[in-house]
Amino acid sequence: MYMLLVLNRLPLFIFVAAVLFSAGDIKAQCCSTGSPVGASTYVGVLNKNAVRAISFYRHSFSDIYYKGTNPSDDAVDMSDNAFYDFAGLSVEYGLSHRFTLQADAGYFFNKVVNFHNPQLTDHNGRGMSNGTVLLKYGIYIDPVKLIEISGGAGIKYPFTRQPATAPNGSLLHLDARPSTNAFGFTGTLLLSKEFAPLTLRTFLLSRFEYNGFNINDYQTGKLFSSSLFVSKKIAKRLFGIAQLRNELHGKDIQDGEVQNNTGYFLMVFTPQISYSIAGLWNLSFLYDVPVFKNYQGKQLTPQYSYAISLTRDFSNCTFKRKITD
Amino acid sequence: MKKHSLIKSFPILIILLTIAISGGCKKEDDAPQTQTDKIEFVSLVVEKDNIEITELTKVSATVKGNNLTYIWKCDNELGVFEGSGAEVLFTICHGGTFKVTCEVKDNANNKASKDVYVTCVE
Repeated sequence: MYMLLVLNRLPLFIFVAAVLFSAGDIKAQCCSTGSPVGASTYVGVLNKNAVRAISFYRHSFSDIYYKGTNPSDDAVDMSDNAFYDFAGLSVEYGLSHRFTLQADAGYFFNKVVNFHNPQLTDHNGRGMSNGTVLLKYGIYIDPVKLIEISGGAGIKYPFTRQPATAPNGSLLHLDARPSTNAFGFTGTLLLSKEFAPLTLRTFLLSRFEYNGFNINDYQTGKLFSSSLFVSKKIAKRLFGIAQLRNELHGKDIQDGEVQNNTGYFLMVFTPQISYSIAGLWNLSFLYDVPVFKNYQGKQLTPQYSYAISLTRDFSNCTFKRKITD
Repeated sequence: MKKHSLIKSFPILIILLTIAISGGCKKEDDAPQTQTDKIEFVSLVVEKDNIEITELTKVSATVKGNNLTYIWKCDNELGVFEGSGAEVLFTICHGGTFKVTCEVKDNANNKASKDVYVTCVE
């Protein structure tokens, strides 16, 4: 029965894959082990006074250098591998029926670069990543047809402008730093359609990030990512989610000079399973599998990543206003 | 009656006196450092100024001064330094010519710096 169901949906998955693989001209970052992407699929606007808190933990591991679309065949590489453990928290609040305010922050328990040369001490950064404050607006919301189009804009801010340093006082390797230490802005666009009778929901989430310069005139490249999600109820309280995400990362700039081994295009397939508890709590587990890589120059690329997230909805919660109108 | 008011105001006099003395001490701290605290950056030498990616090169600073702290910087954020003090190893995972700077300071915040250039071939 389930097999039949999967076969029925196969054309949809193929279509989704085709759309994303045809994402046009491919350009793309040095030693890019990727940035922690949230682990939630709850991305629309909230009802007025509703609150949603999403916490997640992610582990990511990178150990293969790429040149273009193929693994590098160089005998010696700068690093053997790199990995990080990251915990993120996102809180959303429905300011009105259309406006939702979102604040994100996260902490790297470690961000390690294991150098190949045994003379080099491995770099391990830890600390707060950048924070984000985002205002989302429901451009078009049809509760009958279950369609939502919403957009958001916000700022990225560093918790410190000072780049992290190694124990010897020199700067940490870029891949080991928890933050860009620069301000930036971000924009999002969400298109969502739910098919209630099929207990199926599809949505396309696009995100753009612009990073400013840090105090040493280093600018991390712009990031444009698009994720297509298909969510389906597979059993009572249990949802299966398939996500195809592409990340297009522009080149980094140092003192006005474009950095060669930076910039990439990455496509990731993410199966996810989500368990809903009493309609208020939601526990999700996901696993990122890179399916296509195109890296400029030579760069360390992500191999796999997994995340677990816990979401809590406070939909019925209304806050008493201290000042009455 | 007059004697009584003097006794009453005695603690205030002590406080005022303490403030005056501590102000005097601060003035002494701001006094200019003696000539012996100055730093003389003699040389900054790179063992190999042309390296391949992932290759390490030794950079050595010769500095005259007391209680020195060495800060090593590269004009590219991707430069990696190993070790600390007057002699470190340097490498970078990018091709190009990079400025390596050694900044030295002492306890009195006297500072001096020098640059060398390292070319990395991809």
